Amino acid sequence: MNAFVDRVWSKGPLVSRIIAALLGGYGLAALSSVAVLALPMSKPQAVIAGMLASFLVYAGAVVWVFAVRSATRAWAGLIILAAPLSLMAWSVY
Amino acid sequence: MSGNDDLEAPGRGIRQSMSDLHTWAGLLLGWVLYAMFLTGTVAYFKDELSQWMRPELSHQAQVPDQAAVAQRVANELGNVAVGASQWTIRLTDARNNSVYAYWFNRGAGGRGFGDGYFDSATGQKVTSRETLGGEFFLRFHFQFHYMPAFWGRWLAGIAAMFMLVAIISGVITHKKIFVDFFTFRWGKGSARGSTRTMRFRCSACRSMP
Repeated sequence: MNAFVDRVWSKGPLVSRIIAALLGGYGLAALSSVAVLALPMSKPQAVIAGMLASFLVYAGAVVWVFAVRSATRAWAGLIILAAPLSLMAWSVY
Repeated sequence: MSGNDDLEAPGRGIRQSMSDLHTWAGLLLGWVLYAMFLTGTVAYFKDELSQWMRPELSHQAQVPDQAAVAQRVANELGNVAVGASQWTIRLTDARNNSVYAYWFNRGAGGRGFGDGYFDSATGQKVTSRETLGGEFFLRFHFQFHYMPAFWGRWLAGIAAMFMLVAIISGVITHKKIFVDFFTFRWGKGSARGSTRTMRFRCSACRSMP
């Protein structure tokens, strides 16, 4: 039983990364697509550019989450990027 | 998934991480993507398939006068789509011998849309059989037909996102993919080497739009 608990517990970082990739990546992509509106460009252009870029942001975030050394770093990277994007998104919300 | 299975182990290279990501992103929704690619490819021939599946329509030796066809179908739409505020008609052309029309009627139930296929020679609605023709493959390609279109499009979008991740992680894993892709190794190398080459080619072909 203890061995089983250990086995499940050892998957924690992996599960954490998967959640970071699926939900964290989505959040980052959504944030960036809104944050683009804060840039000094025409609104329709910004909407389209943000939508197109969001797919690359999402894919890049997933690659990042699985590339770094630990799950903690993966989340930290997402949060560090999300902070300025949130500010930009907030300024236009 | 060979070698180092522990994601958190130190010294685990990026190639190994990306290889695992490539494997799982591809494996989880690859079967959905296969159905999308297959039906999307077949959909290139949707007009020809539609002609084949509606044999009751007369063979079209040459494209009939578009204005006359439009008038015939418009007359029929006046009977079929009573009270509609909008008609959209796709006329016949060199590849397509039936007229497709859909209309919007605010007073009708549901979302208010109706549609039908029409004979270009008579203008009559084709009622002899219920078939989408080749259109089935086009719709299946992005909404899977056997489930609600709304969720089908979500599934197609999620599968496409998985494929983008699989492509990027795959290129990182096989960083010499472009060289390997164009290397012709007839009878050279180990069995494993040549299957790997085949695999590179297959995956690269598959990822082309």
